[in-house]
Amino acid sequence: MADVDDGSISDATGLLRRIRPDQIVDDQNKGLRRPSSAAFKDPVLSVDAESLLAAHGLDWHFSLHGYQGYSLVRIRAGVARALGLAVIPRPIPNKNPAHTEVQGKKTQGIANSLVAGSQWVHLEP
Amino acid sequence: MPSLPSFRVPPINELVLSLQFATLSNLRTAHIGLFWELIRSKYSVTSEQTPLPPFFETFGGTRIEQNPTLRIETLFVPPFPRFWFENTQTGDLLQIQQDRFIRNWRQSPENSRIYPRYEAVRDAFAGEAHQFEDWLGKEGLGQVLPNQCEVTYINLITLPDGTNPHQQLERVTGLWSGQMGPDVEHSVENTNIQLTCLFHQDGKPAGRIYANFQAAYFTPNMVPVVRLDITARGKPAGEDIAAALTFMDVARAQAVNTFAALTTPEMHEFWGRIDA
Amino acid sequence: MSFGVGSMPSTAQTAAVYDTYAAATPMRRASDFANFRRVFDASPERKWEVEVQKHLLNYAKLPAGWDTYNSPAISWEAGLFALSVLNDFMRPRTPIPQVVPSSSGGVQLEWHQKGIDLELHIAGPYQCEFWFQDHQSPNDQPISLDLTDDFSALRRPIELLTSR
Repeated sequence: MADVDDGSISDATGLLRRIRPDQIVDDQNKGLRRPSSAAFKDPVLSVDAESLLAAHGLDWHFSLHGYQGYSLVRIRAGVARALGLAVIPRPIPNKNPAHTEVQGKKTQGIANSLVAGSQWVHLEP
Repeated sequence: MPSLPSFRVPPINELVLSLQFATLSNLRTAHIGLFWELIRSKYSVTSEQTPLPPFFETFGGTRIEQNPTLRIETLFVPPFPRFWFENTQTGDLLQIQQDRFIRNWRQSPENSRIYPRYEAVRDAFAGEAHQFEDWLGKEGLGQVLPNQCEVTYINLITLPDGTNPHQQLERVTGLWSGQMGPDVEHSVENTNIQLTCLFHQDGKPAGRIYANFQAAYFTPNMVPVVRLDITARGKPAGEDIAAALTFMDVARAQAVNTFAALTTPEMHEFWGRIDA
Repeated sequence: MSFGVGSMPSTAQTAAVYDTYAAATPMRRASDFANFRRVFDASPERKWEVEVQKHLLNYAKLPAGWDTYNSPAISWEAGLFALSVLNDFMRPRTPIPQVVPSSSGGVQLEWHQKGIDLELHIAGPYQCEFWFQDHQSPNDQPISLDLTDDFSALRRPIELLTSR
């Protein structure tokens, strides 16, 4: 499989990432709980592409299945690409047909931009 | 480069060269036995000590308390000790733990060794550090990636006339005047002084000097001495042994200059200063 | 598990000296002279240290893949370095940072309060990224820096967090 962003995942596609409870911070400035930028620092950031989930008759529940206590965020692929990151589908056979990688170095600026461009799909209380 | 202060008979009792590096988490206790086989002809006795915590010299803040640290003992992996390897004839010591490689030149009470000077100790350290690094590579245990270096001089100071230095620290260092106001008639029993300084390179903070004067006794004959420890510590410019050695040379110069600056002309004459 | 406060550096600990005046260790700790410090700065409790250590010890136990993806185990040395940096800046009134495990294997110290966003990502000793934004400043642009051993950039944000 090519290690390049071929654009097969559209900019509008949501990319879903699980967030551990200890990677959620209290932002008193905004009066809300949000993911820490530390959750997005992996240079090869694993996500599930919603378009690929849909193609297999799945939705965001699949991304959280078996991960009790985790929350889930969505970032549009176009947000990642606008930051210079590559969005590359990487399905895992027999396990995860929607697995995708957001590749590229995540500086604090880029990681915080990903946070700013994210929204909760599911936030554990 | 200006020459360093030099003394015919410096009061040095121990010189310690210490290299701290990223933890070699694959290095296990059992592996150390294999390394000991390589050095056993020189270091015939081994023992285990409590591991030393890591230190990091950073700048820009205000350090009021010493570095906090964490000691962790997991349920699954016992803590890795600090291994001592001793040369029973000379008293020299090699110390190894998962993130440290240390060489001590030690004055022996039994044979009063002549101090061979820093360069000889440094060359021995360099050879042994490279030997350790090569062995790690052959065993697939990782690389030595230094992140801190330290040079420590331990000096035991007596006075030329043999009187007790504990009550006359002002003869050892200009940091202490020995003077108290007229309101009391106390007689000083002993004085301890602790000092921390920054040193710079190319206009930027490069490391710290820690100097400590402490009243003590020389064990073999219980002669009162003032123990003066001077440690120079900082981060090398690169992550290899060559960069660490370069920094150690800088640290040594800082330590020696500090030693000369902190001690009195009377003591310099007693030790036979030859560069002044 | 055990916690400790490090003593003065003494890698030698082998000199043939019998010391009748010092305590068990050859060198006294700076905290032994706390009576000579200004009361304002003296902080015998150091609550921040207890809180931060609690998180770091938990993160030290996390195995690779702890975030359910391909995260490496959290670097123990990153945690120690974080403590060392905080030691130079925290004051009694400074808010305690949130301590977050990073998906790249480091730790992140962060504050989001009083109109300030301050983050210090620590991948390992001397491998840090600084991020600061003061929303009450006329120039509300974030400042992003790579830091190794000089943390002067932290002074102003910490002062603001402490005094606002």
